[in-house]
Amino acid sequence: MYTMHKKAQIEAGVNWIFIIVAGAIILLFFASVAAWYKSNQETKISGQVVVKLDSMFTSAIESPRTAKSVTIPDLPIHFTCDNDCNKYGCPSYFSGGAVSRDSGTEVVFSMANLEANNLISWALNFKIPYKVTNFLYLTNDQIRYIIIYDTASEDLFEAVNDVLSENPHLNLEAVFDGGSLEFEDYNDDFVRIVSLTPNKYTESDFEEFFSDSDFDFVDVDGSEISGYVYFNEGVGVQYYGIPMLIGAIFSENSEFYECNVNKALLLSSYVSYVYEKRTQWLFGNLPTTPEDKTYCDIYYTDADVVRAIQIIGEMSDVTLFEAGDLSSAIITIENNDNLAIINDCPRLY
Amino acid sequence: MIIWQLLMIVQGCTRMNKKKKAQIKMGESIIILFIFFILVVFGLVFYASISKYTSGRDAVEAEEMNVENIQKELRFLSEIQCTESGNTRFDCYDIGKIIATQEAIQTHYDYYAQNVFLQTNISFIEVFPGNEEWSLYEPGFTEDDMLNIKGGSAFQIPVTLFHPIDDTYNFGYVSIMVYKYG
Amino acid sequence: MVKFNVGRKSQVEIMGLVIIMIIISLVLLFVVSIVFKQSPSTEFSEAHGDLSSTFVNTLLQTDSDCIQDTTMQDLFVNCARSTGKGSITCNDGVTKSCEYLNTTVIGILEDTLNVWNVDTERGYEFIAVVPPQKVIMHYTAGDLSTSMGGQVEPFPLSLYPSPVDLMIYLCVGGCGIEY
Repeated sequence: MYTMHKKAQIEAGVNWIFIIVAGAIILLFFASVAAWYKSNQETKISGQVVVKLDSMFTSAIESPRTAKSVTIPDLPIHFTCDNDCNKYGCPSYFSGGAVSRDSGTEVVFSMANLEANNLISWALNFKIPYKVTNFLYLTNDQIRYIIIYDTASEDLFEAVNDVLSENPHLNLEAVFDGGSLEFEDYNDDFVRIVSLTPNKYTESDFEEFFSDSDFDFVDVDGSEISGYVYFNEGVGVQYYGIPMLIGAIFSENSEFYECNVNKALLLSSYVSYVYEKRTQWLFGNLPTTPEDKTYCDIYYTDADVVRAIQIIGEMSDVTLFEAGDLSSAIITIENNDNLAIINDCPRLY
Repeated sequence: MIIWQLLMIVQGCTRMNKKKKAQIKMGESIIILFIFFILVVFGLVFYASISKYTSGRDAVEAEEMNVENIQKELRFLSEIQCTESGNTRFDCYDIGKIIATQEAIQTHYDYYAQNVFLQTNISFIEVFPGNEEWSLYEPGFTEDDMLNIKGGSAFQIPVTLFHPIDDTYNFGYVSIMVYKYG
Repeated sequence: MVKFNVGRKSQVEIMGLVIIMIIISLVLLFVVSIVFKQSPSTEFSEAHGDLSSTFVNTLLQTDSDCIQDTTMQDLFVNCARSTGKGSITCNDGVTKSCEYLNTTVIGILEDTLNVWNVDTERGYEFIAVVPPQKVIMHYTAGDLSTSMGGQVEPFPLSLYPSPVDLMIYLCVGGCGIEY
């Protein structure tokens, strides 16, 4: 009797062990299926978001001077641009979660990480003087931009502000430097302080105002035509024209900005080659019959206009970039184009 | 003694029955679990085949999006767009620029093949008033590539073709052939 | 007592079977909703709507060789406004705008949509009409099998100062409109 009682106890115990083990196996199985499904769906959603963002960027790029603010899933978007450029472009990607997309030769100025559930997109033409590409600028309303200017830099400020104010979604503040500066800290995600008064301030001058917010400082030394932009790292990178300067204002750092400028100049070299060949084609194909336009050929000569286009095309990266030479080339092309139009000749661009 | 022996036999039989019952019960539980896992596997196979179907459809959508992307690339390609002092006119292509871009593509083939045109064949055809054709880009398929081509889709899009010398806007279309490769 | 227990047990078993049947039918519903997600006719009308609007837009911007500095749009408007064959006479001194349009547009349609086999696959219809009944041009090709049923969006051209616009339709499969 005693033996039977013991056996029943053991049996009950073994039964329970069996139930627990079997139950654990079943639970583990379902837990692993759920985990697999969750990661699968996260990757799928990231992929869908990235595809939609890509489509959004494409539409934004091709609608210059049209600012858009869209709501996006609360997924951090990451941008990279590696300055190791070659004839195909600069290695650059944007990613949302686990999925990334090559941003190829698209020129995108933004912070490296954008984390918010809204995204502001904006595009401007890059023309030198023919259209090369459109620059895409990305930000969100959690990033605050402060532009500091004084009397000496008022012209530059007006040129920049005229363009920036076309985008009503930007969190933008303009401050006139009349002697002393005061700022309020609104606890933004990030504050970008841009000084159009060169060599007057450093980052440490603003630490007392932004103890709670992350911020950095960019110094601009130049005019609305060209100049240099100095980021935190102290390295100066050239800009040409307001769209490029605004690109610097939106960029994460000097390397990111320079990488995108290199993309723009690379595209410019290919577009310039096409304009060079087109101008030579125009020169060689003007009609020769009576009432022809052979008088037009002076506007498409190798020595003058074609050489100017070649000069622009030769500046295929920042190291080869010379603002003075670029300006002269642009003026030559613009003058010839204006004269061609006045004399009813085919346009240069 | 005999009664005792009889009792032991009966006890033994009962014990054996109980053992057999327990074994049968355990066997039952195991079979139930086995069948349960088979059902779960069936469910997963079913889900996988649905996923295969939807991803097949996604692949078709992706292919259509690829065509749309090529269209957009072409539409916004600065090299061939009609411009007036740098301002773009959409769905219009400058014939002078098309001819110049043909030469640019021959000189910088790798760049255009990798970044812009990929596995497509693009031509511009003028329909009115003239009747000319310009082949902008042809993929440089090798013999091995030709074996891997699984067909393609052809699309035509009406476009305006601008003659810079005549200063006329003519009617034409762009023919895009997207190859399915792999 | 035993009978009562057996009855209870079978009820529970039947409930279990019912639940399984419900789950299976839900799964089947889910499958059917995925498989038959988008109706083919919606995809068809979207693709051909794009072609129609692009075609008409491009056509209207095309320069005509009727007389200098006139586009097809100018000729359509001239033809729509006039009571006869159009007030513009082409460079040949004979052809009027309406007649020129008829010949030229049909030629363009045949050199494009017919070459692309749109006429043989679905057929198409080109209509230029000033409502309610002044037809500038009407051309059909192929078997108008899939009528758009009057849902097509026209391309309107203003005939200012007249309040009525010239409507231009290009419908793959047929417009299905009455005028």
